[in-house]
Amino acid sequence: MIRSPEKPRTSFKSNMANSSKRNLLIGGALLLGIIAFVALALRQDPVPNAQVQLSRIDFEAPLEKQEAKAIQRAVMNTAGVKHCYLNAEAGTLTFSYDLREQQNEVVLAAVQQTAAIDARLYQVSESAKASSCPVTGAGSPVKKVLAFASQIWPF
Amino acid sequence: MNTRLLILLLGMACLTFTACDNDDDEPMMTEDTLYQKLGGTTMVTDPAGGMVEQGRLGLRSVVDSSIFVIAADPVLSPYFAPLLAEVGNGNTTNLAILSENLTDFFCVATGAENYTYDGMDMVSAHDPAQNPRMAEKSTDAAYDAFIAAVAEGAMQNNVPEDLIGEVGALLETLRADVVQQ
Repeated sequence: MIRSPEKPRTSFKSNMANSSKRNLLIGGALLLGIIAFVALALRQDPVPNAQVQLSRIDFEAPLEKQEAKAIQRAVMNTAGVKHCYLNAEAGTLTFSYDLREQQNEVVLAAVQQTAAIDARLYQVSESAKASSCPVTGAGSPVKKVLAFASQIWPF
Repeated sequence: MNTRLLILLLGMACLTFTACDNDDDEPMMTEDTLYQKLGGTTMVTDPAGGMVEQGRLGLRSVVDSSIFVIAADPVLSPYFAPLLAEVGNGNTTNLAILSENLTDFFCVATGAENYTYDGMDMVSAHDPAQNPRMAEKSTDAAYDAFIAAVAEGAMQNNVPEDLIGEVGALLETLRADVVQQ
């Protein structure tokens, strides 16, 4: 007597379905892993003092020592101002302030109240904006890729 | 025959180990890098938040102070004008970007091992033909003013004179790359 072969517990179709599910899971896990890896690799540390803006006030003439000191005091006493530097000989004053706390016009007003000579904010022309110290690194391929990636994944 | 081979092998092994031993006994006399002299890898509290290597914090302080001097100098204005361009609230300012990248550059140039500089190399960066953002070639006078600004920034941060001299010497080695006239 010939015995009929045992029936497989699962059909071929079922096996294929299970195999596809397993492959899908493995593929999904791999994809998630790759995304996590890329996200970690491209993650940029936050830039310190990212909201600190630099601004310059130009005076119409060089400043005397006493007047320069008074102006510096007035600037540093303005809320939101972090630091200032006065080049008395050139008649220029650079100061930094937190964009979230202050506007440079307010600092200019404080300077104008203190200084006896005319002062105005230095305005950067469009052509000047296009040229800069190359150490900003914005033109490097790595920076471009990071900037692009950070737009896609804002982490 | 086997005994002779064994003695030969033992002899070679002794020579090898002796040679290795001699290397280990001699201390490596290496001079500290400028980065190490400025504080090196010792971790300290960063006023901007978190922890930072002391060498980097020192260099960043010098860079930040120097940027104010640079921005106030009319000779350097043509090269650094975007520093003073305002950005909208919520964006990273050019001051913050330049501070970060110039600090990276100085860290790498002074011997830091845990930081990288991924900006352009100095020759390409200062060549208007290769870098469209470089509107005009640097002059010796402008580079002198830049070095003087860095020295003043270092003095404002009480960096010892001999180290300021080393920073100046380091910048001097880059003059030919930067001034291409």
